[in-house]
Amino acid sequence: MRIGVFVCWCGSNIAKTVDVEAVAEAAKSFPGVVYATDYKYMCSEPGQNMVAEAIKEHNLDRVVIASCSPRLHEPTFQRCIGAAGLNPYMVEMANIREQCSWVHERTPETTEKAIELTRMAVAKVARNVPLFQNDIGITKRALVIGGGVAGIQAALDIADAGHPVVLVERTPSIGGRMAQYDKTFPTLDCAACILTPKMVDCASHPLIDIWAYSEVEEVNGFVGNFDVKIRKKATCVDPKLCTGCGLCLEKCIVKDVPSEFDEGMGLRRAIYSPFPQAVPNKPVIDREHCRIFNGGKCGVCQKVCPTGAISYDTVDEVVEEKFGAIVVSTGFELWDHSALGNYGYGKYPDVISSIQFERIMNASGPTEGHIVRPSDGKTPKSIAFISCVGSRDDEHGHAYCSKVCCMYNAKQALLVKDKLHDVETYVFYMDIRANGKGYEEFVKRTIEDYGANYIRGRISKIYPDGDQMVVKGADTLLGKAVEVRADLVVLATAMQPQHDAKDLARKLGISTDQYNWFSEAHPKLKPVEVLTDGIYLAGACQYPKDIPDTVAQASGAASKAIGLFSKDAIKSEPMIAYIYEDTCVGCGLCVDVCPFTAIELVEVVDKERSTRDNQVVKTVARINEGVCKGCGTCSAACRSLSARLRGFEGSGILAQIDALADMVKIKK
Amino acid sequence: MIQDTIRQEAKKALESGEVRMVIGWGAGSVPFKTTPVFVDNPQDTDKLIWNPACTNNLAVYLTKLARDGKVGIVAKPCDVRSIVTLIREKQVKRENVFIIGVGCGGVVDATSLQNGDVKLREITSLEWDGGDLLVTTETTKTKLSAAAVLREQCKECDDRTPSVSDVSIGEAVVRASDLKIEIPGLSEDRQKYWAEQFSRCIRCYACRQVCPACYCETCFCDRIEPKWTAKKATTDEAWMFHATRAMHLVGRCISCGECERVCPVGIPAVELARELNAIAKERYGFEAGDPQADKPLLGNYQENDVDPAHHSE
Repeated sequence: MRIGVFVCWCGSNIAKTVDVEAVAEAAKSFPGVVYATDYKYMCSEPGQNMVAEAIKEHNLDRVVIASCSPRLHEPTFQRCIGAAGLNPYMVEMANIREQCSWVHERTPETTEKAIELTRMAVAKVARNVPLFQNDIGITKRALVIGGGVAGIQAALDIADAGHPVVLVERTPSIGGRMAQYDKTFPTLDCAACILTPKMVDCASHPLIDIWAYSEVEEVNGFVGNFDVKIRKKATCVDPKLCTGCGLCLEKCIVKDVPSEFDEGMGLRRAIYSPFPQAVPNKPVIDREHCRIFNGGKCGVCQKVCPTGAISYDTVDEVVEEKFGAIVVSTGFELWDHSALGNYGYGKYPDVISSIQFERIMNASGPTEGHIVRPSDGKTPKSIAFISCVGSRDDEHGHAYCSKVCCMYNAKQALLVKDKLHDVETYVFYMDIRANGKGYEEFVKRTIEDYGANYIRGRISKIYPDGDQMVVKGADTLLGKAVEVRADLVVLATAMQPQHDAKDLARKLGISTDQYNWFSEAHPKLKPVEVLTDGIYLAGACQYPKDIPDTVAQASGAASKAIGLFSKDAIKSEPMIAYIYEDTCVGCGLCVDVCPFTAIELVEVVDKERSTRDNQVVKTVARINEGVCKGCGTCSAACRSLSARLRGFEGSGILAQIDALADMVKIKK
Repeated sequence: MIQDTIRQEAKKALESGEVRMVIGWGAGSVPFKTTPVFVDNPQDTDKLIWNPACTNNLAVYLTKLARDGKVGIVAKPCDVRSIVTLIREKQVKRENVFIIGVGCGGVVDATSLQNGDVKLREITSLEWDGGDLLVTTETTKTKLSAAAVLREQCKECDDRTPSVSDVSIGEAVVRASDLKIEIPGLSEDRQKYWAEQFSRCIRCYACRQVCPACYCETCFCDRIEPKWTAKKATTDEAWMFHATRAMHLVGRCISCGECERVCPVGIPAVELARELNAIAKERYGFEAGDPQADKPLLGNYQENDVDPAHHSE
């Protein structure tokens, strides 16, 4: 055994508090060490060359780098010694920076600790064995979950790169939230005008399959090889026969279903398309409201359909498909503020949410773009916009900022002034957060050119007086109470994760944060990835985002999928768990504790008990190598020491502990 | 009477061919020093006995004997908890065990019966009479208090009828369970206490062999690589063995106390697992051997679980 030890100064990061030369000197006496040295920056090119040359010159077979956290430079030095002809896994890092020099003063004890950490790494590397990567094939086909602007963008980008995409959307049409909006800040493009071309592109793209009215039921497998069960809900309408003529919608006799798309401000039929530009433009029957499914007699839609596309006995279909990558773009919901009494939402018809106001402003909305109040249809003379309703509000479970409300408040206050010249607008805000390209200028324009009255303060109560609403609160800049009479009150309610985000996270095996937003792999450096390889996030399912950020992230997620598909096979990570089947008793505890569902129980021949004439089987655990992330939970749980982690075998860990114990004993 | 029913049920199961063997208790060197018996012939079922001295947890034999076919087992409520654990941990298939469950009022330590006029050899019957044990010989009838004769683990036990069984025999014996178990191993000086206990350990592994939950084919302490404990019988190495074994038993030990009973040097190993189980019950509402629990304690993480690091006692 010929171990080389390389002690890094990390400039002054380590050398300032640790006597690096003393560490290198001490290392020379460790068992198996034939060469030890120190250098200013081990990770630099000259530093790496030094390691490579020492391997050749001193015929080293194992290397210890005493420097920073393996999270930073373990791959660097694995590559370095790999290029020098060693197996890349014959290197160990002793973290004498984060775990030593950064957290201690310059004392002899600090150097002593660095020596002990290095000694432990030497003990472990002496027991390292070569590990090898395997090739795993991949399915070059992506699943995009959620057909809002994020999912649409991701699907288009992946398909444009030449890979087939299935875009799953649970409502009857793609388009998502953006399709509901009137204009978009800060440029005031009409949302539909910029979104519908993309929707149509999706529909006509030869590589994109849109599965609307469908939901993901179960996800198995791993990066490059996901097996996904998708439920295609019964629509009663044969998409191959339906021409989208809309006759059924006109003739349906159930006319009083509140429209989800219009946020309850308008009505729809029992057979419906959510909006005129729906893609796919095929209606579905809402079985909850259709007479046929509620014991009634009807069948009008079937009778009027010119192509005979409607049949009432279709059933849900569950299909199982293979995908290599999954983009999650399931978006957000808005907080239902009616649970809370003092703003009167849900109680007073003229207190509405911002998304309802979007529908009122929208030319294709329930009022055809005429701004009127829901109670009496009158044109409002004064409108109060209230921001942070639920957002930045620990008490109501959203400590975070919903990020887009300041901007759409400004947009709505501007647009309404554009349409109704003699309206007075009031915007109640906590802070104005307008940190995007052209955003600050936009808010300024609303205030200065469109005369919106911005009042800094929170609202305590909204109540009716005559045919107006009284908005009561505090002006925190003037330091006095403020009361505004408004014909219409618009509440900017908090964005929150989809109510079933947690369920989807469970199906996908990804994690969520305290609010149930999906968690990214790293807040700064891996904002698109999640901890499960091959699954990427796009849009507001991760955290509130505006349209530009959503689209940018969607393209980012797509590029990650395309990058994955640019290879024919992926390298498996060799530092994963394996089962020593001879001693495994098949108790299944590892199956229960595995956070990645990477372990299953299988039957194998029991070598101990089988004879030539009588083959006996026993149950043992088996690791799915593509799914295992090498977290080691199974090996910690296993009582018979049969679940083991490559690169972190018990013998190596015990050798480290023994080495430390020896050094402590010597000191005593 | 209970004994007769056990024999009848065992006979039926053997005669019908439902089981190939019935595991139960038989008379030992004296009738009230019981021993496990393995009856595979219907003629031999009168070897099976039942009395308050039937102490062995027979579930330990199931892992091997019920592996390839169905066997019957006579089981007290605590033994049934062991069987439930074995089934959950996939060491025994439910369809491979025929459980002859017996109601139980606690078992006694036979040696504690001989005092004064009573000689173990002369006892003709033992039965619970309210809170006392009625000991009958040819000539005498003596009442002994439960506190004096009960096995330690039975003192706080209120599990009197088997939670799972194929045949359930005998009424639960009514006996107040207001007795408390003393656990000296939890005192302030517990380090000293356990150092003293483990210093006597001769590493015979009787505790492991008798334990139904210790079914690994290769125990961690028998491994050469990685070598978690050395073979030598020093206090440190014994400590490593007993502490690791206790950790392996969390949420799995049903406190039958067999390890303590068989220990030739009297180490109360069950106290460790008993305390860990008490913590599991307090923090997570988990009881070992509860047929309602669908996952093992250590294999079941809930987001609202108590975080021990922030748990104030």
